Amino acid sequence: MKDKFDLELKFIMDEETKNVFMPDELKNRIMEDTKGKILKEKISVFLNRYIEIPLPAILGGLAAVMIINLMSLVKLNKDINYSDGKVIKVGYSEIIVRNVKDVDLHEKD
Amino acid sequence: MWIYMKRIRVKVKTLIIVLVSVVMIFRLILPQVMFKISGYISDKDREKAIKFYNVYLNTLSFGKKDEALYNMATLMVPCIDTYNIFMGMRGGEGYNITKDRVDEVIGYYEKILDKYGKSKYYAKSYNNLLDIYTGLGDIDSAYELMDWGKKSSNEKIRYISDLFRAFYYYVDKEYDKALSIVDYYIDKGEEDSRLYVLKGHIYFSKEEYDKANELYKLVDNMPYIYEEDNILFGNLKKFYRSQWIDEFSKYRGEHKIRGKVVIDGKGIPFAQIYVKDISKSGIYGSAGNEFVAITDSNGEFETVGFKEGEYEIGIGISQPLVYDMVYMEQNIRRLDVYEDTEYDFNFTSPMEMISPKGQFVLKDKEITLKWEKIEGVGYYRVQAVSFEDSKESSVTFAIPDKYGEYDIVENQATLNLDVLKLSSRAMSYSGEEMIASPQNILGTFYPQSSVPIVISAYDKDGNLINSTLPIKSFYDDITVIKVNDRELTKGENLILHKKYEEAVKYYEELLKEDTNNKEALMYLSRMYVEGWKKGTKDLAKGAEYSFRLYELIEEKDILGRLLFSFDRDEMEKHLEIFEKVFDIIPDEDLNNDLLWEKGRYYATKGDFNKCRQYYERAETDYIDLDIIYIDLYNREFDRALNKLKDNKLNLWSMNKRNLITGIEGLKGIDENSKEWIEFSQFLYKSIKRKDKEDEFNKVYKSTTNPFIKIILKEIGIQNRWLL
Repeated sequence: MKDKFDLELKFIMDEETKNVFMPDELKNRIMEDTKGKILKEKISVFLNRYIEIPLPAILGGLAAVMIINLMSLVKLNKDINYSDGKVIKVGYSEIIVRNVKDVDLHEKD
Repeated sequence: MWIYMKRIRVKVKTLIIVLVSVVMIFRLILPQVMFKISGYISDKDREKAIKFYNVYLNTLSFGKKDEALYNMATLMVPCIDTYNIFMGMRGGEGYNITKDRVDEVIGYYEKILDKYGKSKYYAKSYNNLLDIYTGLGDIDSAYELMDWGKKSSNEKIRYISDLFRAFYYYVDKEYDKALSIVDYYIDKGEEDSRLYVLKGHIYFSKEEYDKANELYKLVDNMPYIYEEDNILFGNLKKFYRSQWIDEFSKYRGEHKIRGKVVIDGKGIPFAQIYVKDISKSGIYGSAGNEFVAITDSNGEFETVGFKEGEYEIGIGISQPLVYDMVYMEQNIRRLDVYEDTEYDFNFTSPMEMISPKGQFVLKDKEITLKWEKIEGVGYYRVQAVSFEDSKESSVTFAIPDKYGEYDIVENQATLNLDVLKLSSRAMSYSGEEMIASPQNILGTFYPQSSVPIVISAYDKDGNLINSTLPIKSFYDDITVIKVNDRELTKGENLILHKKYEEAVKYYEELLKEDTNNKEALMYLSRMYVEGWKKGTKDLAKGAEYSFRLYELIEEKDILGRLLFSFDRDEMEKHLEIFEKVFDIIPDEDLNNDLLWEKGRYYATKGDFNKCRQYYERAETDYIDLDIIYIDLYNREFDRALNKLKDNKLNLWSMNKRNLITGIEGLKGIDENSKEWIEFSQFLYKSIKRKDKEDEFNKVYKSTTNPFIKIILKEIGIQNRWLL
């Protein structure tokens, strides 16, 4: 229950602050800053967080990244075969022996 | 084990930075490095540079894709080189560029035209694309592109469109239209050497040689402006034509050569036509700046005029086209030009091998080959390819089916290894010591060997009308029989590794234990009959082993092979071996090879009438010139003239017209005249293969009879005594 002193103090405070007010713009800015600060802080906290990873997982992950990237390069190189093969003269014709493409095998039944 | 337990404490942001860096290195930095490397190595290793550019283009890289596309395209197809086909020679120069590769490059240039309108490679790509379409003879695509270029807002594109239009007018002999375009740009001050060289070609075709040469000389002294190389309009070369035209001036005349270059009846445009003086050895005019005509849109050509003479005609066609072409070769090696003359070059798409395709592992004794049926065929031949030691050249020869037949009527044949092992006769020797190739002794179809197979179709006159082997092909596209019916024996292994002396010793020991050992008899007979190196041929021993083997298996090919290995000098010393063979096999059972050998036997004995008889009986798709010589020697001139009319007579480098003139002229010659006696003595020696160059020169110089001189001249050319 409020006593007399409390009511008196309330009255004084009301009297002193009755002309003080916060514009809406400021209110919004404060609210936004508060929000942003929380996200940034969250990200910062996340980025600066220490994690412990088992060494095999790190090595495996790094190897996977490298393999995926290297594979794409190797794959591209395999897709094309422009190497000039060895030329064998057969009568008036020429047979070119390519290196990459495999010769189909047709096993006899 | 500790490594599995170990844990690393790391900040999340450090981990992300590491991962992003790895991706950046592989996807952005590495491609840029590759681009730089591609440019650096493109002169040294074209194929690697292409791969690097290709990787660059397939990554997240940015900024230089147009340059990479252009560079890659020019490395992949620097130009469309020609493959040259002359009457006595064939061969390609430059790069082995396939149609697939060209199609890929067309895609790259189209991408530049589509996406990089402001690139400095835009007009260059347009130009190169027109060069490619022209090189391939793809007129429709070229016209479409020229029409598109004509409407372009880019001045350079419009100019290139007009320039190619002028070239197309020129090949279609619309010289005035071509000249009006060329002159318009020259008057405008365009300093492109292509304008002047094209103008030179127009004057050359109009036979205004001085004007043409003036322009060619001008071009030789002009700097490169538009291109980095010497190529223009498909595969013509720009420079040094003035030097060639000076040489060419000796042959100017009135007689034109007309003809067509066609595949499956459809004309091949932009083929270059070359003509070479038959009496000149050396360079064939085929460097792209030595053409005397170019085929028009319909594949037709007309050369400038030549003076009377004997020439060899040839063509240069774009290399990517020859992967799908078989040349229907004519049995003629020189063109006799004494009036306007016609000569066509006919090609066909290769016939299909139905089965087997690719490599076929033969584990049994027999295999059945099937191929596409060809209309108008007289017979098919199955041919095997035997590689020489270097594997760069080869011997191609017909092989029989399981019944011993070489001329196959149906579009299939069954081969039997036992028959093939006895019949194949590919011979090659290497080095000064004349070391025999193992295939000479083992045959082509020995265990573990791989033998490419070609099917050729001929008409009834023996003219090639199709083949499964195009002018150029890839090894993996042709049928190859890999023989795997058994392991090599000890003796065969020795032969395969060229340990011939050891092999002889091994087999001779084997024969002591088993006098009827067929393998020993077969290989010993071959080694002694052919000789495994200089000085090892022993025909007496070879004959002994051959007869012993024949007694066991009665295969005529054994004796055919024996007789075939005798040269005429050896025949004179061993006539009894021939007589023994012909005692064993009666006339009616002689196959073509043995009929031929019997003809040779009688020629060696000097009985030319019997020789002629057997040569005639042995005729297949080839008539020996000796028959004409025998008719001349016997003074049966009309008979010789009749034989000359036979299409099967292959005169190679002899001129039929001259021979006819000569023989007609001999009809009245006195048989006791000194000229005739000398000439008939020379003929006698020729038929007996005793003719020598110095004797020829003696008779050729001394004879005063003009007709004998004409005939002797042809004999001299045929034997390369006169060039």
